[in-house]
Amino acid sequence: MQNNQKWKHVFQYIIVLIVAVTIALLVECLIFQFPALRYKQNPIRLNPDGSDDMVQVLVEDELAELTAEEIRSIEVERDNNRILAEYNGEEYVEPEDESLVEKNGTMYRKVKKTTISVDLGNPCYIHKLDLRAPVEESAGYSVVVLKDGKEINSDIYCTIEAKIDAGIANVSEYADAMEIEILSREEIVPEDIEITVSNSFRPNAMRVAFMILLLLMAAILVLEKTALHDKQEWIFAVTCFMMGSLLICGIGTNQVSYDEYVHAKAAYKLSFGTTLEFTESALQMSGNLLPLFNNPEERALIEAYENKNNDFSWADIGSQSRFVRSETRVYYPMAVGFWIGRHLQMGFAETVALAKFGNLLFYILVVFFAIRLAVRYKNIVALIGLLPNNVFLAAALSYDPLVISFLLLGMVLIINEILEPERELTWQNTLLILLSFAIGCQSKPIYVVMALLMLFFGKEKFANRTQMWVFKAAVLVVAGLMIYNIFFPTPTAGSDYHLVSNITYAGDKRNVGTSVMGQIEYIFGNPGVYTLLLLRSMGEMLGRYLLGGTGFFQYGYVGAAPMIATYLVLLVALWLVLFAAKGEKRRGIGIKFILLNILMIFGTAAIVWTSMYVSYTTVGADEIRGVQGRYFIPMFLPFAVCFLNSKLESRLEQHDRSRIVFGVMTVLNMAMIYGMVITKMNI
Amino acid sequence: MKRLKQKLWKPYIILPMLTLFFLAGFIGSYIFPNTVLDTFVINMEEEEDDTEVLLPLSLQEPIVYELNTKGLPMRGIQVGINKRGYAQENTTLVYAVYKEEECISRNVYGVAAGDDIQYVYLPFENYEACIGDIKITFLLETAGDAETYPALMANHAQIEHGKTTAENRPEGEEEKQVALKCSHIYTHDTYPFLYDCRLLTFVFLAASMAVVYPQRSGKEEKHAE
Repeated sequence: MQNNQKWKHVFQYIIVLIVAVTIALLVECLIFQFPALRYKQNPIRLNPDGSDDMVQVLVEDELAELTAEEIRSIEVERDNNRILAEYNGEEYVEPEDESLVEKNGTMYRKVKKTTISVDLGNPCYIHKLDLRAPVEESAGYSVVVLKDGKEINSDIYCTIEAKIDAGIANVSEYADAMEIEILSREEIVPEDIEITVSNSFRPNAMRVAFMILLLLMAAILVLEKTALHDKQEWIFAVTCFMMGSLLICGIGTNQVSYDEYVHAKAAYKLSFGTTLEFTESALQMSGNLLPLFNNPEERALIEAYENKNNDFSWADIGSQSRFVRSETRVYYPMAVGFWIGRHLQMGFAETVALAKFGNLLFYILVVFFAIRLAVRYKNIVALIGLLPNNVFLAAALSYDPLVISFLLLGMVLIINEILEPERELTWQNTLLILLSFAIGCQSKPIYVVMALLMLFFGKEKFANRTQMWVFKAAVLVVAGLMIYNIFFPTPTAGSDYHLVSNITYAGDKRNVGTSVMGQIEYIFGNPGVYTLLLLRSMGEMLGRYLLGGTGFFQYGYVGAAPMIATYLVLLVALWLVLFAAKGEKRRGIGIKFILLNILMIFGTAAIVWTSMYVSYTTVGADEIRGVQGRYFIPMFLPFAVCFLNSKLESRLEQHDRSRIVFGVMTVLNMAMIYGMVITKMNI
Repeated sequence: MKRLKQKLWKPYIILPMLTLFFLAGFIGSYIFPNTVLDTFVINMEEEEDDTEVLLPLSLQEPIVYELNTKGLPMRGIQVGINKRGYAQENTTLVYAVYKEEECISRNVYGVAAGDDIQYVYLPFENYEACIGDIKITFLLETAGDAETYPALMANHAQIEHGKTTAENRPEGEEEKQVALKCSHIYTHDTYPFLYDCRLLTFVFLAASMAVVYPQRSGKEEKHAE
């Protein structure tokens, strides 16, 4: 009987898969590829070399205003060179850049403007505009599309990537003329420019995969009633893996996560023993220099370029200590992917994807156990595990997923103990809680403050007073040692040891004028001013995220979901913690732990802000730089459980509540994946 | 044996043993540090408009390099040696370190061992004394049958904390300021397992307490109450 049920279940999924694939292919071919079917035409090659009457070219000098980001990066580079010169006892001479011009207090760069006017004669559907030109430094172009002499689209911008000498724009307009304006650092010879407009029938694999997975996830939410009731961790694992896979495949080697190049370098190095082999592509990945793609055509060119430059026969050879630094162990899940990819001689993009899959699978594994171990608040843990920020980071090269997942697991175990005060603390739980914090805080030690909640466990949790005092002393010592390590790190190997370990030079080198010691002196010299700045900054950020302006759910540098998404998830989370499922017995954490939790959250948040002020902000600045909403994700669970109570009960049963939670988080993530990854990079 | 194994695998045995293991690692990390080399590149490449100079070694006139170690004991120096196309069999280089005119380290290197152009690490004996203002001399002790002696590589860079003096110079270089192409080598101690061992000592101590006390006394005390 049970076997029959199992086969019925398998059969159901086979049917669902066939239906999903059929629907996805039909939608792709009949709807998305409709212009290619409707306006069938061969690619048109345009020659700007003067031989074609339809194409006119004009080259002029122009001044292009520098963006704030460009100005900042010039300042940061100069400041770092100044510090290095000062450390080496050399005189710092500021370099002159003749291509920069200052006019009325604004910085400009001298550029060449090449204007190409194209008259296509008969109107045609332009899906893709493929522009190839040999450039030493990346250039940009804009396109104005015209029909019957009228502008129908003037919002098309594209970069000509110097590494592939090409920039392919999505136009998707029915037009008869175009005006292309190229801005480049050096003059481009018109004869060297190749322009092709095309409208080919080319089904999009990423879009098809997206539709299939979306339909599969919908089917899981409909069919898996039992799992939704008592095995939410499995639903989490499957949905998170599907969404993470879409992100990994969709983003490819585009470096769009926070400081991804830093994490990529650390994980790549960890995948080697003492002898490092950096291929040109790996070096570019470590320097944040890999070219970005915006559509499948550019992706194909870039991946070919990366594979060509991933040749180990001319790799840069280096060495590293045979002992791994403790902080870098958090990169092991990614390093395994790099190691496997290299040993299987996979392409560069596939190897990077494998490293990201390592991260994703490890994140899923830890959160899986966090959900499984949570007592009567599994749904809220699943919701946190599926927050778009978390799913995105798990599918990127970053140590944040490891930090977030282990802190989530650690907090789940602590909350379990708080919810059952009469139950004694077992050695298994003691070990698991402390190890979760030890691993989770390895690269971000300040979060260990959260573990201090355990100092307030009542004596009922221990067999006797000795055990209680030793346990609490151990918690205190572990937390103290981790914080001590921030200021006095254990010496590590490396020729920059004396510079790196010199606290006089400590400070984040991505910003101008940072100094750890200088900033600490400033805070102690002006405690009142700093307290006001801290409270104001915290209040302002909370206001921005809750009352408008900034969407909390972000996919790195790709974009953020609108505010409505924040409200929706907040509403669902509040409902989950306030109301128990129908027939479920719940209890609150008690007023003592509510107050302690709030104090701990406020304290940890204040330390996070202060750490960014000390290490990342210019000394004495009246703002705190670099603090992002994602830093507070580990505090969401302790905040949420403050609302747990034994009085309120919803009319919905557990599986319906799970359906709502997973449904909302799936729709939110899939909408963000489609809007930010599929349309911006894969169409 | 099987009974002993079963007994040892009890958590109240294994957890205290692990605590002691990590405590031993904690203490051992301090007692047996891992010493690593620090390479400070001083002058290894020519500026854009500069050219390399070869300073020939001789049996009589040493090439002298003076520097300040900035308070760190210097473990050795990395220099560029050019064998000038000869095998240089039986040619030995003596490099001595002087502090206040007193020789504090005298060392020998067989030039034939390396390639024609070699960037070789020359470690100092008694390196603890090589601190502060020191002078390193490079002189040939024995020369083989080669017609031309090996040379140290140099250039015309301006070096803040290093002064090179050489009597034997190629034609046209007599009056110019030259700087030895070199890296200063220092060391420092690292403690690769210190961070983990000290944390895990306390993690396993807490876990041990959770199992040992209830096992040995706690439960009985509670029951007695």
